[in-house]
Amino acid sequence: MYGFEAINANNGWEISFLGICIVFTGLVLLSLAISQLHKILDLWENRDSYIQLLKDRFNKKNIPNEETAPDIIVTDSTRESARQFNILIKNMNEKYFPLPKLIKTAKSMGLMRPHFYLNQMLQIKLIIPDGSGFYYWEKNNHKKIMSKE
Amino acid sequence: MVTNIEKIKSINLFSNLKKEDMEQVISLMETNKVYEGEVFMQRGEPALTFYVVLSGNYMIHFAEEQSFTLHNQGDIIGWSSIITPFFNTATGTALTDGELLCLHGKKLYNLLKNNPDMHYIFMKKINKIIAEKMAYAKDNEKI
Amino acid sequence: MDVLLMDFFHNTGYYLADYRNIIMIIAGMVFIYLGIAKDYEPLLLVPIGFGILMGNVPVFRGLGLSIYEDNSVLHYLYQGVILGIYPPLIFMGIGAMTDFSTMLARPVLMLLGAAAQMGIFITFLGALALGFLSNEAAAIGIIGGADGPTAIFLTAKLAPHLIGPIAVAAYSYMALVPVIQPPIMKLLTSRKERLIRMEEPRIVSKKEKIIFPIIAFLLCCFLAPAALPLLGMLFLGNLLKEAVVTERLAVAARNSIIDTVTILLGLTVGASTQADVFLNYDSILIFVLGAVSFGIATASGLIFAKIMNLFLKNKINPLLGAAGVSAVPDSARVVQIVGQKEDPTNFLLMHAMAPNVSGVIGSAIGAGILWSFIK
Repeated sequence: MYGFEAINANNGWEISFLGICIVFTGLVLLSLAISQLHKILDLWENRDSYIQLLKDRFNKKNIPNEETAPDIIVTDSTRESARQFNILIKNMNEKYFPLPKLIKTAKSMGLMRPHFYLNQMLQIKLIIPDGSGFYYWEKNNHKKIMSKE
Repeated sequence: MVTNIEKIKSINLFSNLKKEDMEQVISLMETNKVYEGEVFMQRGEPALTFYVVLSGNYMIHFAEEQSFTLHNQGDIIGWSSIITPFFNTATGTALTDGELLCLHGKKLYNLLKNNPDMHYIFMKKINKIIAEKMAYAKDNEKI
Repeated sequence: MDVLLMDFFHNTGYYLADYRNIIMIIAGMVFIYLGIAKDYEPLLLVPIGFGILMGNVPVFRGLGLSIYEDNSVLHYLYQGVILGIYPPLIFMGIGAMTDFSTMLARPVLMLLGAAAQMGIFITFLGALALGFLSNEAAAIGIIGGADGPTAIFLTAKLAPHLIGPIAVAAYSYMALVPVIQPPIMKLLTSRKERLIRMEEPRIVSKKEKIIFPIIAFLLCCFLAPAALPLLGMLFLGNLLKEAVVTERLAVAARNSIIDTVTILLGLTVGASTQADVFLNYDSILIFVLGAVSFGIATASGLIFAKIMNLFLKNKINPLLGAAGVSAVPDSARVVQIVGQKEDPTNFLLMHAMAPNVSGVIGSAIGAGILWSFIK
């Protein structure tokens, strides 16, 4: 028997196709295993730091309100700046304002250390990002901070 | 200025780098102090430096006056230095005094280019940091 | 006295020889010449060439001299081939010599080693079409794996009567890699492609290298258990090398053991090519099919590398595909030479070793599959 007849009679096509597929499968599996090997080893070798990282994340999730609480001491000068920024923002007449413009306005109005106090306003959540690159004044926080005066 | 290596290793961006990669990255680093109100990166200028925040608070603002602020150690600034066309797309201003870890952008880019694994780890972390930043902004939006 | 003298004369090679013996002796000399003068795989061609001389000295049957006589020394040595003992021992030595680092650094290059194994299966079809039985066709196809020990192992299991021509064809083509591959490589790649530079591979840790042979062995042998004798010994040898604490065993495997076995294998395979057994139409067909198989394997690797480049961000030099045939390290060296002809500062050898060693694994899996399908 010769030619295609011989190939068909001996299941040549099936054997060849399966053979190529299995060789590829074997080497692809091996290649995938190898490509992940160094990552798994890294995970194992640095397991303590990864566990710590997970713990830190977990702890953060369990105290959701902590972030909203101001983590810097609100001093009289902070309150004074808050008052001044509040006026500035009202004068800007924009509900969502850009920070560079706020700083520029603060500078032109002669506000002392505008960058420093702007940072404080951000930290105590008086100025809050709107998610699209602009900011707004959080009136409720402002009331809370002023009421502690 | 010499920076504590342990402190650098503790930064999330560098935490997964292999010892030899870490050494190469450290060789490109220097720490610089920045002062309140200082503009350390100007939009439209060639992006020469990749910054990692060690301390301090920063504002990054774009052409249309949009901006975001950075307050944590490990935050990154100036990724234009490792992404073509290597021009700053934003201006960086220090809101308070602080310390920035500065990496020479071109050298870092070449290092990453020649080290695909490190490139992958680095870009993955950068993406993650940016994504977290976006998520943070979105979360605040919901408050 | 005259009778004794005549008897003696009738038993000499001068009396018993026919033209076929002379042809084979010349072939043996060519092998020795290629090995010594041209430096083509001398460690293989010289013992095989001398084995051909030994096998083709005409001997009187019944004295226990021929390799095909049960009581001859050569026959006992030949059992290592027939029973498939030598190839796994050689694989152990290869494992103890091989550094899998480049493959571990860029596992995607392993696919080139898989692609080059297409030569095996396409030749298998060709051999079937030419009228060989399926067991013979499988043994002929494996020549395309360009792996002498694998070819001998599979032939010993499936078609022991073809060991001579298949082994000689496999080793001849392995030795002729620098002659066969470059024209195909140039034909199937453009200059621009040959100029592609590969990225530096990452540094692979010692732990990875130690764990790799264990994982690779388990993964491959669970998939194709028939590859166990070859791959088991290959990865054992590699583990001995990488484990460091077993350095003595690794040194033995990659020096004394592989050298001893190579001599015995080469000699007995050469001796098995006795003119009356070897010089026939089938042998010629096997040689032709072997060359075709080798060419297809090389071309498959090259074409697959080009296909991979359609999807890869960091392009690979398609010449690496030619190293997918498992002639270690010859085909990797050829890749380096062809690449450097275009750009003397382009170093491809290290990268070519990845498909090259994965080709060894691929051809062993291929052999295991054929064995399990056809036995």
